[in-house]
Amino acid sequence: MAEFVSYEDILCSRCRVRMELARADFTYLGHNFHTEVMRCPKCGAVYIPEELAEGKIADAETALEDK
Amino acid sequence: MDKEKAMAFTSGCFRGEPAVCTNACPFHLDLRSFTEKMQKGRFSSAYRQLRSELIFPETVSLLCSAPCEGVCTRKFLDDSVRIHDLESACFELTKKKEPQVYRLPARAERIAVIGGGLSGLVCALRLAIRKYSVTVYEASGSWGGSLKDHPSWEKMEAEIRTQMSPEKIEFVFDHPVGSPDLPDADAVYVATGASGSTFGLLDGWDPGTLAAAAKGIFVGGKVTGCSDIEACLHGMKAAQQIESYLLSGNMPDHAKKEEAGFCGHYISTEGMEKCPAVLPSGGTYTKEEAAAEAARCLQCDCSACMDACEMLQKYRKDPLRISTEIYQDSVVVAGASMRTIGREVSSCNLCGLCERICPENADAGAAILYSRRDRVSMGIYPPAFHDHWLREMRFAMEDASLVMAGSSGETCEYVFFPGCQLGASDPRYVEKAYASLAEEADLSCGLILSCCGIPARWAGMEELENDIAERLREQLHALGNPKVICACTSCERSLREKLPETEIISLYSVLCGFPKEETPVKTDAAVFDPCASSLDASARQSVRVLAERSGIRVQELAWHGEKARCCGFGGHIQAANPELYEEITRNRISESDLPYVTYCANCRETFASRGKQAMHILDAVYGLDDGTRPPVPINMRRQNMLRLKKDIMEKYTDQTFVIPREAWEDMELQIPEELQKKMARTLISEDTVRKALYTAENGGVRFEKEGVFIASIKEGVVTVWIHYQKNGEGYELVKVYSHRMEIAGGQNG
Repeated sequence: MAEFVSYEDILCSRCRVRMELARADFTYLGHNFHTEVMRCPKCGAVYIPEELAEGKIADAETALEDK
Repeated sequence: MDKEKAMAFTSGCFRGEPAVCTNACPFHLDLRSFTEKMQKGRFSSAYRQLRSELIFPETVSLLCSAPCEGVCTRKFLDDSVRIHDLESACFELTKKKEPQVYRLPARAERIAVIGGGLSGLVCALRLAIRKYSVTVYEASGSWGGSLKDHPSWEKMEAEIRTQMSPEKIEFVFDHPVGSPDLPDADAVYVATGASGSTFGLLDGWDPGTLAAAAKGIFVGGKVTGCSDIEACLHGMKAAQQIESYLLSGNMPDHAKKEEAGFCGHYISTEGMEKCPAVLPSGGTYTKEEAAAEAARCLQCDCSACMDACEMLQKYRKDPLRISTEIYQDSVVVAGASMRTIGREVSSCNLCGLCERICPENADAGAAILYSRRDRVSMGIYPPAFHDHWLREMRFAMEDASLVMAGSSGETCEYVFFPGCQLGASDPRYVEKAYASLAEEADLSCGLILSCCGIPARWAGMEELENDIAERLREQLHALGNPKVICACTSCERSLREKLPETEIISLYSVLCGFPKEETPVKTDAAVFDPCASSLDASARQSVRVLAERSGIRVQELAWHGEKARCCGFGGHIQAANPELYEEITRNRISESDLPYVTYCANCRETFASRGKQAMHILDAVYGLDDGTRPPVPINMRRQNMLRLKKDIMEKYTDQTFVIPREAWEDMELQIPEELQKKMARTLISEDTVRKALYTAENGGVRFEKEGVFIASIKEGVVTVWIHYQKNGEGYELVKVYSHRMEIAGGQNG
């Protein structure tokens, strides 16, 4: 089973271009938050890897929910 | 938020207040602390506590009738704790009784104490310890007053002498004082004893503060007509009032209230073991006897709800504090301060046990529901906590809903309301039960497949909850207002509250009335009472009868009946607090090694998801399963609801129902067991995963690397991501995860 060890060489299937690191803005419960994610330079679609969703994003969600 | 309303839910809570014995003690002695020290053999420390609170502890103990023993909680179990004997032992076992001397600077203010009896001596010593210049004027030739006639005077005299020895107190004996020539001093305490002169000072005297009308003069002790113990209390109070007068220059306010906070509530002794009082083998206790007797103290402080509830234990907050914080949270100005109780409010099962178990019915759950509703109205309650369940509720009320009057035409005498999750767990539960009612018993019985609205209640959405109740009221009206037969006690609870005009009956009480042959005992099982069953003793009893008739020898769990605890599902806390949810469910399945028999579909599914053998009572009644049936995944619950609707419609009406089939349902998808478990834990439906897969495979946004494809989908307020690979003709799921944050502009660019 293939595992991603880095974000390199991830392709956007529709645009057939390589994803690039880019800043993405998030909103949750009326608060804003931003972090680096992979984004398709052509169509702008964003990829959130598991480590980010269950790490930094989950922590920020918890902090905002507790406010 | 209405502060009074928030506080009223838990106003009966008396946790943290002084114990009943302290309440009864004229000196408000902290006897919990005293017995704790005695139990540990710290006799000198116990002695110092008594001395600092009583000044002459042995004398007071000899004079005191021990009202603490009269009120002790242990008297309801066996015998009161023998505080008086413990005090005697403390005096015997303490070697060093000489007072501690504090080197404080001398104060210039002069205080005159008129009368060398107990009250005067107490006041004089207290002020002398504070280094005031104290003179005691005594009419007779020695101090002691009426104590000198006490049979134990010798003992008292020795103690008073020891305690006064390091301090400087000037005594003027054989000096009767007569009005108007009170001695020249900055403050005067008149304590001339039972037959002493009042110098006319009792006119305008305030018994609360001991203040006379004239500035700087206080009157107390037996001259005011009180007892020895009160005289002693007066001496202490006079010292305190004199010092406060000397510091401020003002006499005390008359109207000031006595100390508040002494409630005198009893904790429950239910289930406590008996242990009779230890009697002294000799004149007083030995060390061992004293420690054993002191250990009988229950350290009375109510923890009934906290002992019962994991949520209260986890956050270590008693109901009073919960109400306080709930109100404080409601007035928080965003940015200026933080809310403190959001997670707790979302972590309550709303099972009502805290209220039922509280001797004063303090209701932390009701306060928490109030807060959830308030948070929803303020727009600060995280929607992700309840979104999943609200979507399931909508599905049950719309896609899977059915209302029919049954064979009797337009209206019916009864209507079966199984609740949304019974058929979702196993359609046969509803089909069999309905057949029993409408066919075997030939009742004029209709059927409503829908939801009682409890998910809306738990989500704090009161308006939606009321709308659902109103809709159900209309449905019942159209059926001729039949009696409602509930299979779920949570539905029962909701309907009783929302539709008080409707007669509600438990399915189990009805089934119990039908004749059935007894089955020989096949197995033992513990009945797990659902939390909402506390309001229906008849349902609880009927379930036990049905179980026995079905060959189950019923065993009782420690927490059953009125004390039934929630399986963990209640209040829909799983998304808000998965760790606590895990802990609660783990604790419930560990209560007994026996299989469980319950009568709530959610309890059954919750236990099954933890691998606990758990059957629904209808499994036993209809011989459907022994409780080893695996839990039903989210998407299968929906399928079961639809299948039930179809089967019922085809059997009992002339209508048909076509179960909608979506394109993604036909895709070949393998989901490894680990990921299935994760999906159940994080409330991700297989349907959602399939939708994401279908969209990605049909021209939607998709990423790829080395044969693995990535796609996402927004379901409600949650974004679900999947990683998958092709596997022959179909697909295999590699990863699944979710987040609640939204990407500005959307994840699809």
